This record gives sequence, C-alpha cells and structure tokens, in this order.
Amino acid sequence: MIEKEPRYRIVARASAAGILFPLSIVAGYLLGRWIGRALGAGEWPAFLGAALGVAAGFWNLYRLLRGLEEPDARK
Amino acid sequence: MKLSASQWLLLSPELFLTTAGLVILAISVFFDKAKEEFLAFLTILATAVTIGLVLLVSGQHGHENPILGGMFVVDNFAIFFKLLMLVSIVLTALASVRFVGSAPYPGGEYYALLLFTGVGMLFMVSGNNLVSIYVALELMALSSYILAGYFKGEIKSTEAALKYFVLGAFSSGILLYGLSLVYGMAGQMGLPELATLLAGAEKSNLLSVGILLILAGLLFKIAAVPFHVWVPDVYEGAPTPVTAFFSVGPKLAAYAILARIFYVAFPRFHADWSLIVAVVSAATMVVGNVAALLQSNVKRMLAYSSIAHAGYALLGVIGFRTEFGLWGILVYLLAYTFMNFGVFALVVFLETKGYAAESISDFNGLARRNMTAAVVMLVFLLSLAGIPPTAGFIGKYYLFSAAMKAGYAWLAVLAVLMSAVSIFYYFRIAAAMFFSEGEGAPMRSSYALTTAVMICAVATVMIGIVPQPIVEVLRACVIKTP
Repeated sequence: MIEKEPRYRIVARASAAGILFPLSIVAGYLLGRWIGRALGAGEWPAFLGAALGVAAGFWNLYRLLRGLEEPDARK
Repeated sequence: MKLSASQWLLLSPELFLTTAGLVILAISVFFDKAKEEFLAFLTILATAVTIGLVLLVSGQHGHENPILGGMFVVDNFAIFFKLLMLVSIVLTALASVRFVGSAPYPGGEYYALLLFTGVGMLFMVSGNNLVSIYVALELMALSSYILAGYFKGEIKSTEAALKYFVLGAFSSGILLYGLSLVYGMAGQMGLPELATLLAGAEKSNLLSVGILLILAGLLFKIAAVPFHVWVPDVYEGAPTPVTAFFSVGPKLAAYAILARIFYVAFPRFHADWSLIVAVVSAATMVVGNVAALLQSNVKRMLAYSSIAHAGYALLGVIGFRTEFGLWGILVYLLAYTFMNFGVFALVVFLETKGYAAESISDFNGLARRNMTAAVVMLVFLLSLAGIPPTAGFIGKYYLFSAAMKAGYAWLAVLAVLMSAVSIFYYFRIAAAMFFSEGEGAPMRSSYALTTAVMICAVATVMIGIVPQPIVEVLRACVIKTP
C-alpha cells in the first residue's frame, strides 16, 4: 500500500520551490558577476549566470511537480 | 479615448470572437439539450465570420496605423498570424466534434474556451506595447490551462493542466519581471518608442537582464530547451484535439510576439541576444530529436518533435537582420501549422476516448485497413522531416538560408543533421503503417475530422509544389521596421 505524503510536507516543498525560484536567478547573476570580475571577463558571465539561474529555478519547479504526481499516473 | 468607425472596424474581429464565445457559453448554460455538434457548428461559423472580418480589415486603407494610443496595430504581419490562428481554431473545432460529443463533459465550455484562447491570440499578435501583449498572453494562457484539463475526471488530464498552469505561471512571472526591468530602465512600454529610446542609450546591466528574462519567458511559450520539459507531459495528458491545437495555435502567437518584440524593440541588442538564441536553438534541435528517438508513445514522440521544430524556427529569429529571417519564420510557421495539425488529427482518428492511440503499435497495418489515411499520414511525416516536395522542405529551406546568411553556418549544418535524425523516428510510424502485420487501434472517422485532415493535406502538398506565389505573399507580411 502506498502511503500518502502529509499535507504539511507538500506545502513545505512547494514553498521551498517558490523561494528557490527567485533566489536561483539572483544567486546565478551574483555568482556570474563575481566570476566575471575575478577573471576580468566583463559582464557576460553575469548574464550567463542569470540565464542558468532561470533554467535551474524552472527545473526545480518541474521536479516538484513530478514528485507530486499520483504514482498510478506516472509512467 | 474616442474611436472612429474605421478604428472600430480594426477591432471588430476580436470583438466579434469574444461575443461569439459568450453566446456559445450562454447557449450551453440555458439550453441543456443543445447538441455538441450544433455548438461546434456555431464555433466554426463564428470563426469563419471572424476570418471574413480580418480580410475586410486587411483591405481597409491605412489599417497598419496603430490605434488605442499606439497599443494595438493591425499590420500585414498581424493579419497573417490572425488568419493562420483562426484557421487553426476551425481545424481544432472540426477535429473535436466526435471527441467532445462522446465526452461526459459540457461542450459549451470547451468551444467557448477555444474561442477565448483565440481572442487572446488575436490581441497578442496585434500588441504594440509590452502591457497589451502581456495581458493578451494571459488571456490566452488561462483559457489554455482549462482546456488542458477538460477531462476533469481523468487524472492524466488534470495533472497536465496543473503542470501547465504552474510552469506557465512561472514563465509569466519571469516575463513580467523582465518587462518591469525594461520599463524601469527605459520608462517606455510601446515597442517603437522603446526602439527609438534604446537606439542611442548606453547599455546597462539591468536592461540586459530584463531583455534576457523576457526572452526566457517567451522561450517557455515556444517550448525551447531548457524550458521544454512541460511539453511531453502536457501533450500526453491533454485531450488529443487540444494537444493538436496547443502544438500550433499558442505557439504561433508566441512566435509572433517574440518576433515583434525583438525585431521592433530590441534590434540594437541583436548581437547579444542572437548568440543566446543560437545556443538555445542548437540545444533544442538536439534534445528534441534525440529524445523523440527514444519514445514509444506517439503523443510524446510528436511532443518532442514539436520541440525540435521550435529549434528550427529559432534559426529565423537569429537571422532577423537577413532577408530570410522573419520571412523564413512566416513561411515555416505556415507549413508547420498544417503538417503538424494534420499528424495530430490522424492520431485522433485512431482513438476512442481521448487516449487510445498512444503507442506506435496502434498504427500497425493502417495501410491495409485504410490506404488513404496511411498515405496522407506519410505525406505529413515526410513534410515534418523536411523532404521535398512538401511544405516542410520549403519552410526549412528559408530558415536554414537565414542561419547561413547570418553567419551561423555551423547551426545550419547541425539543423540539416538533426533533420536527418528525425527521419528515423518519423519512419517508425510509417513502417508500422505499411509493413507491420500486427493489429492496430480501430479507426473512428467522422466527416468533420476527415475534412480537417484533408484541409491540412491539401495545404501541405500545395505549399510544397507551388510555393512561389504563397512565399511572395508572405514577403509582404514582414514587419517594415526598423
């Protein structure tokens, strides 16, 4: 028998994804900017970092949604 | 703001389609006995009248002048997309008649939502201001989320709708964040005003991040890597006629605004964003085609195929500064609409309750049972693979030329290689139809569905055999600025 996950844990996971989404963009941008300045490579690493942050936030949200699927519907 | 009679006429397609959607909704509420076939007929009739209104507008002198304070424009570019989107709604309604009739849910909601999605798409392609584009996009998106979950009693359908909604809300948030940063830096929302202002302005980090976020939000809508993961799940879970619609209608609208925003407002930043788009295009073509090779579920395979096609279409975005860039996108999207909808419509042929035709083995021996259907399917598959003389070949020719002229020869070579890879998975379906001895899914045809398939087949063949007059008409639809 499959045990259902407690509701508070689902809410906690969803909240974490919501917080991680903007944080990943900001973190990516700041990390990229720091790398760009440290290497003297200009501003493009900052944009690359922001782009990777957007992608990471999106993937994290998708992983959360996959995790919430009903086991029977997952193939 | 007072509008003249001629300005009201420019808005008439959107106003009429909105009214038609409300009327269909009211009929289904007040007349329980209203047959689904009748509602489908009303939907097709309303869309046909709207097509007539769009054509009427296109013949009006000065129709390309913006109205509503510059927020709404009906140039040839918008007219092309409006006509193509309205045709996709007619095709969807035709493909839905039997399916909605047999589903235990009210058809009025379905057809009204289809029309409301259409209203959002029409406003989107005429948007000439970041705010009007965003509001129209949300109207389209909200109606689409509900359509994806139309089978509310089925877990796959509701999960598809939930995924689409949550990830769609994410992309809208990203887009809105980008819009607000651009507005914060430029102080303008109108696209031509932004172009003028940014032409002489110094580049700033925040402005670049804003443009990047707008690009990310739009890449989600066209299902480009890495924002593509929702597509297979949503396409698999949504009812198949809705999937067919999603694979063309909202994508057309997203390409239209991607082109309008980046072609009109941000040409100065072309060198910055075209490199990002080139990387995304390459990744999208590779991921879409390789993942499609591994699928046994037809809807998931076609979902990955449509991801790969998003990668091809991005070649036109990269080549915006060349003659073939925007023109190539128009040619390709015209071909893509008919060939892709045709494939999905034939999948609807082979299903009973929205989900039956799931496996490639469902196509086993189709040629023995219905040679015409098998041949028409083969035409669509050849076109999707880009083999001449089909519409898909013409579309790809223009896009690959755009990439070459823009100096991205490596990307054009990759696109050709990926097209070759795609032949393998398209031909798995062809092999099942013509060479398999096994028993496939039963065919459930209807006059409406057959009509939709034949319209797509004729268009796919005609664009491939006599492309010149069509392509020349599309040249006139390219946006005149900058």
